[in-house]
Amino acid sequence: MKRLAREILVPAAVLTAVALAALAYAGWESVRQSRALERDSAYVRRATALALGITDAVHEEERRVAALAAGPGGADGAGAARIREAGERLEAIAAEIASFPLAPRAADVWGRFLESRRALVAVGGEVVASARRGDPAATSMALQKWNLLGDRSDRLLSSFTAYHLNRLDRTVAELQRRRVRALALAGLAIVAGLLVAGGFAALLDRKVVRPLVEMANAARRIQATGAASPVAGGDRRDELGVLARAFNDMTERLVSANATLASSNASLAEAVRARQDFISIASHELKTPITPLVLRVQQLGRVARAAGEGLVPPAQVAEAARTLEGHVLKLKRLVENLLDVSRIDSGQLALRVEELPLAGVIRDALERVAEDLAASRCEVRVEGAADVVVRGDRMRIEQVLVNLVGNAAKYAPGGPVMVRVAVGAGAVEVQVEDAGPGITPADQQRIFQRFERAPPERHVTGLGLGLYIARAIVRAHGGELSVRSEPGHGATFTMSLPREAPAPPAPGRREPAELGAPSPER
Amino acid sequence: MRARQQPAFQHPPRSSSAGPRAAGVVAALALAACGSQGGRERLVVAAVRQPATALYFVARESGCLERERLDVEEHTFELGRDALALMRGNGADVAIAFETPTLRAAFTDDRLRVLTTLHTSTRNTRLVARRDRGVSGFSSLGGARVGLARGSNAEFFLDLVLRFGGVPRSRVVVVDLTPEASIGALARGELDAAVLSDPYAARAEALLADGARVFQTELYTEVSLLLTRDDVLVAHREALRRLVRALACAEREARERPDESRRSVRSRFPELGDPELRHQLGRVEWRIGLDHVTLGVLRDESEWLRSSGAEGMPPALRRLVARGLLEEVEPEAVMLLPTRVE
Repeated sequence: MKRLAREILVPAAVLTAVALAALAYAGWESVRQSRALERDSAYVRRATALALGITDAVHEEERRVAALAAGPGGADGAGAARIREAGERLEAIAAEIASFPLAPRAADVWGRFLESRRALVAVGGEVVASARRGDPAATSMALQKWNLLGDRSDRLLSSFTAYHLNRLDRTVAELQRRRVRALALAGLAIVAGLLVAGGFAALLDRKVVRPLVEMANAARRIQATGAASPVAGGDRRDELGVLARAFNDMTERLVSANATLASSNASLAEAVRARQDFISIASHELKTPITPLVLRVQQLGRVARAAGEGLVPPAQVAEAARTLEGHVLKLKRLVENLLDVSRIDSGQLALRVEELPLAGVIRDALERVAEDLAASRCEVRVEGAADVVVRGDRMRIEQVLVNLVGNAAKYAPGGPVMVRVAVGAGAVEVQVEDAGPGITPADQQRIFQRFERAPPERHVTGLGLGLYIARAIVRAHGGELSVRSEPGHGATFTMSLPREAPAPPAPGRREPAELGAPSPER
Repeated sequence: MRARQQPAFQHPPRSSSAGPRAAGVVAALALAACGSQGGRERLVVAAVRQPATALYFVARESGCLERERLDVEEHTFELGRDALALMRGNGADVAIAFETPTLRAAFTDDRLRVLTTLHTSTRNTRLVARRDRGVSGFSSLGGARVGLARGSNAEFFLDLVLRFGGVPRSRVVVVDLTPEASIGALARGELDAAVLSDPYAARAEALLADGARVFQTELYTEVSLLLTRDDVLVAHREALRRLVRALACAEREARERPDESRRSVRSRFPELGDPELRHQLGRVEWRIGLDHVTLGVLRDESEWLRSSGAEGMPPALRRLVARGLLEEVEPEAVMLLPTRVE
C-alpha cells in the first residue's frame, strides 16, 4: 500500500500534523496574548490608581490653598503646613509614578504635568507670601494665577487618566475583537475541517471504496454470467491499480478456462455421441451382411447336400461358395474399415513405406474394383502414370485409390472415370474424375467426416468412412486429399503425395488434426 | 522642539501579537495588490510658515506624505488666520492655525473640525518690548502701543497678560499689524511692544538686540491645530486619514531623529541659521494629539471670545473636535476622557 499511502495517508497525516501545529500555535498565541493582556490591564489598573491618587492629592492641595487665601488667619503657620503636607503627599505619589514604566505618550503628559506643577508650586509660594503679608489684592491675583495653572495641571491629569481609560477601552475592544475573531476562526476552522473531511471522504471513496465496490460488482457479474467483466482502474499506478490489473487478469483467465472447459465438454459430448453413432452404425452395418451371409451359408449347405446326393451339379456348389465368399469379403472390408478408423483415432495407423511404381498401384486398385466398375458400366482411363514412383505404403495408397474409383463407380454410374497422374516440383498428384452429379460446396466440407455420405438421400450403402480413412491415410503420408466439384458437372478428387514420403508415425495416439479431419465415405 | 524621554514600556497586546501583525501585513499586501490602497489621494493644504507648525513640513520633507501616496498642493501663510480664511472660502481642504483664529472662525462657521494639534507651547508667543520705553513687565504696559495681528492668538495673549498684570485693556493702544509689519514698526519706534511668535519674535529680538525686553508667561498655552471642514471630512476621509498618518510619522521622525528633522525643514526658513532654528524649536513641542489641555484652551478662549462680544455663538467643542480620525490612525494620541466619564 505504499503508493496509496503516499496519495492518501501521507496527505492525511500531513494535514493532521498541520492542524495540530495550528492548534498548538493557537494555544501558544492565546496564552501569550492573554499574558500580554494581563500585563496591560495590570499596567492600566496601576496607572489609573496612581492618576486618581494624584488627582485627589492635587484637589486636597487646591482646597488648602483656597482655604489659606480665604481664611482670616490665612497667613498662620498651620495653613502653610497643611499645604506642605498635601504637597508632600502629592510628591510621594509623583515619585511612585516616576518609578512606574509609563507608556511614551503617558510619560509625555506626565512630564508636562511636572512642568506645570513646578510653575504651580512657584505661584503657590506667591499666594502664601502675599497672604502672609496680608495683601488681599496680591493674594487674589496670585490665587487667580494659581487657579489657572491648577486648571492646566488638572487638564493634564485628566489627559493622563483619559489615556489609560481609553487604553482600557481599547484593551476591552481588542478583547471583544479577538473573541469575535476567535469565534469566526473557530467557525472557519469547523467549516474548513468539514470541507477537508468531506474532501478526504470523497477522495477515499473515489480512490479506494469505489474501485473495491466495482470489483465486488464485477465479481458478482462474473459469478452470475460467467462472462468476463473487466474493472476500470488498471491504468492506475497505485496498489489498487495493481489489484485491478490482477483482478482483470484473473477473471480473463477464469473465463478463458471456463470456455476451454465448456469446449472440452462439448468435444467430449460430441465424441461420446460420435462413438454412440459409430457403435449404432457399425452394429447396423455389421448386422446387414450377416443375415444374407447366414442365408448363403444355409444355402451352401443345402446345395452341398444336394450335390452329395447328386441332385445339383458341382458347379452350382462352387457358385454358392463364391457368392458366400463375396459376402464374407464385404464383411471383412467393413471390419477393416472400422479397425482403420479405430487406428486413425488412436494414432495407430502404421505405414510400411516403400518405393511404389504408381502405375502398378493404380492397376491393382482398378482390378480390385473391376466388378463394381463393370456393374456401374463405367469406363476407366488412366493418364500420365507411366514411370512415376512415389514413396508410401502400397496397401494404403491402393486402398485410397480403390475408395476414390469405387466412389466414382458408385456415384457416377454409366459415366467415364478418368485417373490422371501429374508430377509437380515436390509432389505427385493423382486425380480421379467422374462425370456424376457433382457435390455441393456444403457437402464438400462434410464428406471427409466420419459417417458422412453425400448426398445422403441416394440409396447408396456404406458406413460413410471411406473418404475419412482415405484422407487420414494421405495425410499420414504427408499429403492431402481434396475435392473440386460443381453440382451437375462431376467431381474431381485429388490425392497429393510428397515425392519424399514421411517418416513412419510414432506409436501412440495422434491427434485427429495431425491426420486431417475425418471424412465420410462418398 | 523638546525631546521626550522614552520610558520602558510594554506595548498593548494589539500591537504585540505576531499573528495579527503578520495577518495585517498579508492583508495590507493583498489590499495593495488589489489596488484599493494604491491610488494616490490629493489635498490642498493652507499651511503656516512658523517653526511651531513645522511638523507638517517635516511630514512633507521626510517623505512621510509620499509614503502615504498623498499629493499635496500647498499654500503658505504668515498667519494661521489667513490659512483658515482660505480653507473657509473652499480654497483649501485643510488649514493649520492657532487656537484663537480657529475659535473665532468657529463662532460663525460650524463646518470647522479640529483633527489634531500639531504643537503646544507656553513660551513661543511672547511680548517683545523696547527697553527704552520703560516696559518692565506686563503690569507696566499701561499706555503702551502694542502691535499684534488682530484675530490671532496674540490678542488673547495680550488680554491674558494685561489681566494678570492688572492693566485695563483700555489703557493699551493695540495696533493691528502683521508680524512682519510689527517687527518694522517696533524697530522704527512706532510701537512700544509687539506680541509675536517665532520666527518673528526672534527676529524682533535680534533686531532690537540689547534694546529688547522679552516677557512670556506660563499662564498661556498655545496650540496649533490641523483643521478641515465637515464636508471635506466626509468627502476626503481617506486623504485626511493619510495626512494624519503622515503627521504621526513625522512626529516619530522628530522624536527619533530630531537633528535630521530639523535639517529637513531648514529650507522652509532660509532666513534662519541652524542654531537659531534649533533655539526656536526648543520653545515648542511638536505633538499630534487631542487632550484635555487642548480642550481646556479652546474652552477658555471660547469663553474669552464670548465675553469679548465676538460675533456668533460659541461652538460645541465636542463637535468642533473631531476625534474619530485620530482615533483611527493613532489611538494613543487621543487623551480625552470618554464622554460618559467626562
